Amino acid sequence: MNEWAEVWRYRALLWGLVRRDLKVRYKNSVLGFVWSLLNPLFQILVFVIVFRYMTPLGGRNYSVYLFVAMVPWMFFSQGLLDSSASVATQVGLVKRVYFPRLVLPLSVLMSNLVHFLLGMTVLAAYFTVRRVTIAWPHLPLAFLAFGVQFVFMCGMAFAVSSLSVYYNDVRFLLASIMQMWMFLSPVFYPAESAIARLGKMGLPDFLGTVYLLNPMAPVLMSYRALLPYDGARASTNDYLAVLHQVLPGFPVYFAIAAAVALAAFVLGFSLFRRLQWRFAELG
Amino acid sequence: MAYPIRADNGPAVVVQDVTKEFILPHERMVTLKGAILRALRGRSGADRFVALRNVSFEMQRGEILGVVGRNGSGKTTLLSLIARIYLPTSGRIATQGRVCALLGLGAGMDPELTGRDNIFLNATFYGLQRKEVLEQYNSIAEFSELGDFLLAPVRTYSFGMFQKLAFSVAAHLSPDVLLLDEVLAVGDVHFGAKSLHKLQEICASGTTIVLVTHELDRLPDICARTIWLDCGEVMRDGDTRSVVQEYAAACG
Repeated sequence: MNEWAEVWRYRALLWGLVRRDLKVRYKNSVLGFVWSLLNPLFQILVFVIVFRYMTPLGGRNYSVYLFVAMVPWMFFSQGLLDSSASVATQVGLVKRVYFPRLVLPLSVLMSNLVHFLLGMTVLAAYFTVRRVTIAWPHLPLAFLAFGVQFVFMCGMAFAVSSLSVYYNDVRFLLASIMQMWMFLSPVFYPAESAIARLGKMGLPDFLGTVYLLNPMAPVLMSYRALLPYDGARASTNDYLAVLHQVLPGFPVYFAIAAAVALAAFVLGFSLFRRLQWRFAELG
Repeated sequence: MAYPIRADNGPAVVVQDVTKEFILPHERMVTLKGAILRALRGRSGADRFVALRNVSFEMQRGEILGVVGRNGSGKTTLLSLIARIYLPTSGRIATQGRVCALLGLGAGMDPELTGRDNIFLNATFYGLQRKEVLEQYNSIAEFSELGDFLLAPVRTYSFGMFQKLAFSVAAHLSPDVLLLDEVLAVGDVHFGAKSLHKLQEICASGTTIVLVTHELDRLPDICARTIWLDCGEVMRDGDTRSVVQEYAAACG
């Protein structure tokens, strides 16, 4: 655990890199920081229009349901895409100065975290405007989901950032994977209805299990539990209670997601630790 | 990894039987496809290059050591190894306290940030805490002679101004072990003289210094001991005047 002590010693650098990233990203733009709010808003607007008005998907309050999963998802996908390049683009620097290399992916994740928190603030404002009643008792679950997501992201970021120094392909591959992953995660649609559909189509049951083994599935469902459930024929508007009826295994899947996140963290970290000494010798 | 090893009363730098091999890939950009193809053909796809071979020396605290040698003799590799930028292939390196390697100035500076922000960013890359930079800030700013330009983005600086800024930070890092690669004088005549004077001040302050240079005339005034590297091996290690003489004679 020597590496983490080193990162702590270089915390001023970590903070400085996050600040740099936030300052430089919107240089020479009039709206500056506002863009980090406007971009996701535009994206959500497009999705709402497409899904609400052009497909049979999307019921009442669809924008709210989309928003609450979309903001964490964009943190996940953008954070990983950005961090995959974090070491490869800094090889020149790595050759000239010693500093704990972990600082590079970590700083990128943290500046993405700042954007995520801003997005969540906008989300809260939107909830207020739309007068959505938030299920406050489920807030701890959302925080727990955030923790699982962040640990998972760290592990993935360590792995992809160190591998892409060796193989640039990793970055291009990741962009495609993220696209597929988004559609295979409950971002645009509720997970429980997707699983129900699989069953109706006569597909084998284990597909639903496979679907839920994706750590992002239980994570996004947990964020969604902050919202009231207003699906048809539901006797309650408590989303978790609904989940409990249609998907009694949810806590198990959440625990599996946490375990997968932890495993990704340990594996990603040990991969990074093994590869980091050769970063300066490449490129 | 127990590295670096700290010994509180021993020498400031120990380099013990250090060998460094580099693997030279055939193509600059290695792709996954290339790696798979090579694996299928059963070729490693890499040549080995020995940059340093069985190098050993020790430095006492406050000692200044000159390193001379032709281009490609392993001087910068040696500094990078002491700075922990590379791991040695074999052998052991131990240092005491904070090590700063100035392999070129201005590492990590961002053209979009102001001079002030860059002072903080650059100094923290060398392991300083924010508080330590704050303490040094006025003295760095004054030394740089940049005045109000410190509030302008570095991309608006001339090359000379950038060097002044970078040197000013480097001169205030106050490490325990300083590794210098050809950064003796920067800027115009006035600032060049000032930076040289500052370096002499640092040398006199008891900092342990390894100095790689091609300026052989100046070397005897700066350090008593010099190492001559050739093709990654130590040719001579001893009194600066005689080592420099031998090296100059060998170069013809």
